[in-house]
Amino acid sequence: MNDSLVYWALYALFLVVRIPANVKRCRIPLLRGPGYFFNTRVPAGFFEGPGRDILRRYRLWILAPFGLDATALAFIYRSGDPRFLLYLALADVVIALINHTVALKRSIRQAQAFELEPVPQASAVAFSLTPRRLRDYTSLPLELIVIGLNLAAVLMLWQRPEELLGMVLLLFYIQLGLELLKYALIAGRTLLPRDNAEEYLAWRESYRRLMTDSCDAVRLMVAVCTLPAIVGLNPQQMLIAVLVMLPTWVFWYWRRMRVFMTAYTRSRPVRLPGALEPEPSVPPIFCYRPNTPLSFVKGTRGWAATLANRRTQVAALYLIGLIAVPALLLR
Amino acid sequence: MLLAIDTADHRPIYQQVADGIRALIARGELRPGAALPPVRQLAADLGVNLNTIAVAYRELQNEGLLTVKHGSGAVVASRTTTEHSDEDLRRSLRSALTQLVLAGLSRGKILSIVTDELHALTKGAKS
Repeated sequence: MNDSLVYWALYALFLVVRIPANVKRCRIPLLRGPGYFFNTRVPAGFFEGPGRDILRRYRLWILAPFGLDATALAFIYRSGDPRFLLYLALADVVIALINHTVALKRSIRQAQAFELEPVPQASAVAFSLTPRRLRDYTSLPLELIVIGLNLAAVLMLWQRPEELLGMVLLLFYIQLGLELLKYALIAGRTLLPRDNAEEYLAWRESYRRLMTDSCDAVRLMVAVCTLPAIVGLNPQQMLIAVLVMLPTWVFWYWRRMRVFMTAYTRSRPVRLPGALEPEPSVPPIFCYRPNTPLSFVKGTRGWAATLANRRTQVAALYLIGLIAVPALLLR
Repeated sequence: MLLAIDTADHRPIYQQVADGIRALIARGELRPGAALPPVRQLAADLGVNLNTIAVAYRELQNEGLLTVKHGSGAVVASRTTTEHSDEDLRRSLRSALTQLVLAGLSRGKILSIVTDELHALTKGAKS
């Protein structure tokens, strides 16, 4: 098996891995039962009438990135450089996230035209007084292993810096991104309905912990992968390594799905009525609101990222770096 | 530990937050030294302006119930530091009683309300 074939095999695996995630996305609108489209209460027979088209368009939109992939794959195949597949995979992750958000918002907006009556907003909400700190979600042994692996990578890099610096930098950068993502997950909004608040909090917390653990697991995997990449495993050996790791991923995904589905179907989202109502003055896309704790503010013309928020600033810098680092590596 | 906010309540959100924390301290559910979430976390959870929570924390800090350190969050202060003069305490009580008298309640009803509230407040008190 030559190197090129291995790149294609790795990408094929990546495609397979994306299938369950997209199946899940296609199922989410109906999870609350036939009377709901996501959280929108719809009349009986909705899915035989206008709902059928809305659901079909939502699902087509979700699957659209696969069409883009097909076009990109044709170009990469013609270019003869399979390394572009790695960047395509990276782009796929970002596109899938954005695409899902857009499809979700659009279909909900369409379904709201047929809404029976708005879901009653809780007049009383609860919130936890327990501080959520990064250290509460951090495992010291795991951190020591990751640091050890990274130090070993730096020491090995010392012998061949020119050859490997770029790749190691990219892997470190990915680890940094995962840590930032974990921080964002911890800081994520957690408003609870007053009724069964403790139970709801337990679900939310189990889901949050699962996600932060997942960030750690992927970070560990990236740190582990750095060493063989430096030692110089050939692509075939790397493919075998990926295949060995696949059952771990399948187990993680199965567990995540179970927790997610439980949390989603049993816990309705709540919002404090009157709090941070849409502001007419918020411009689209970006705004500057130093007093809001949220990364995104709702304006009358849609959502805008708050550039005054430190988390938004860090995320923006990271994304710029995410484009810059591979671009530098390609040069 | 959970706190509830009710939009049907006539008190502003910052007041409900401050009153809620105050009651938890009074009942001994929040002990001296207990850490509270940073302003940003509470404001984000509730989806309210940072100032709303900052005002609540500042009010509790001024009363000596919280110690707020910039960057490291708020901590419930030791009760020895929250001692007020007799006159200060009487002033607060007088103000609350005035509201009840102005609302037209009888002496017996006011006493009953005060007894009930005191009972509810001290029911779970641990110290």
